[in-house]
Amino acid sequence: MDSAHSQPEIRVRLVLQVGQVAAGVLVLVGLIGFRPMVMWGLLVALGTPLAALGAVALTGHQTPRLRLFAVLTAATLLLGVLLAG
Amino acid sequence: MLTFLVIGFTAGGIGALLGVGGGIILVPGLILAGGLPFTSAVGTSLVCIVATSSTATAEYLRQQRVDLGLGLEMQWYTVLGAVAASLVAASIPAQPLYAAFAILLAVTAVRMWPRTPGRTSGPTTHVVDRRWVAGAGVGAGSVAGLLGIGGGILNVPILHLMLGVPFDRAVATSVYIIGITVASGSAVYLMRGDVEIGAAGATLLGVMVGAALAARWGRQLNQRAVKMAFALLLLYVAARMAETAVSGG
Repeated sequence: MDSAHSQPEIRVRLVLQVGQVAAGVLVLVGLIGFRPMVMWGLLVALGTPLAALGAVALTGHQTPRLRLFAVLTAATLLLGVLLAG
Repeated sequence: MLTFLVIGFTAGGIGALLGVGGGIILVPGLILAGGLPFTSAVGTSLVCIVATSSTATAEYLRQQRVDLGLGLEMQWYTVLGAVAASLVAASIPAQPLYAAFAILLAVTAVRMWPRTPGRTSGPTTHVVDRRWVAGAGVGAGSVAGLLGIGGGILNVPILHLMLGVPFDRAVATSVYIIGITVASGSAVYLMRGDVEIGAAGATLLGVMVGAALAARWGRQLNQRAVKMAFALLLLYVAARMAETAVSGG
């Protein structure tokens, strides 16, 4: 099924799916009873697209152009957070 | 809690369908129906937009609608523009910017309005006019940073009208781009304590379900109708911007 998908696409999709399921479960458990879990769920949700970006940056040796833009984006985001913080 | 779930479901569905974050529904919804103060509503909205992006992008990748290479490239330029804009935002008068942007959005809405009968899905391959990627990305990020809006409302017309990406792929690629551009901003709000945790959790669950369903089944909708809905959304935002420019606030 994934034969037409590129490696970066498969990686990004996998990270996004795992991250969203984990975030959803944590938030749901938190809302049902153990409140601090909601915060963890939100953090996982926020970290998910960054993790997907990291997956391309760290493992994208076959796709140097994508890897370059993933690294540049991550660095600029970090700079943005530091400047805002 | 049910209120937040419904707000999230609606915003996630519309956001995923039109390639926008859904902040235009989330912020007023969280303030008016959820009773949150403005800053908390914005912070909560940003966190939920990230969830809309992740959920919808995973499904759009499965459908091969996301141009990941173009998305990653434009993402960097957009983030660069947004960070640069955040440094100079305080020194630029907002009113002329709002007025200019209202006109730009209205013109874009007219250009986005479908003139020929639509198809249900776009071709899997297309030629991207890459001459404009850097300028368009920096421009979109700068405007988004200066006006405090999400990128989707700019990304979709840029991808579709300037870069030649078919509308349904422009929507999917825009959804992917939004997740990263909003993630840094929402992290700042979360660190400052400007996110209502309980409300954000419930809204996030609604967003995930709404975005997943819209991404999964949205392709079966008539793309002409979806494009019309996007043009109407542009006109609505243009009217709100014009109102802000005139009222001065």
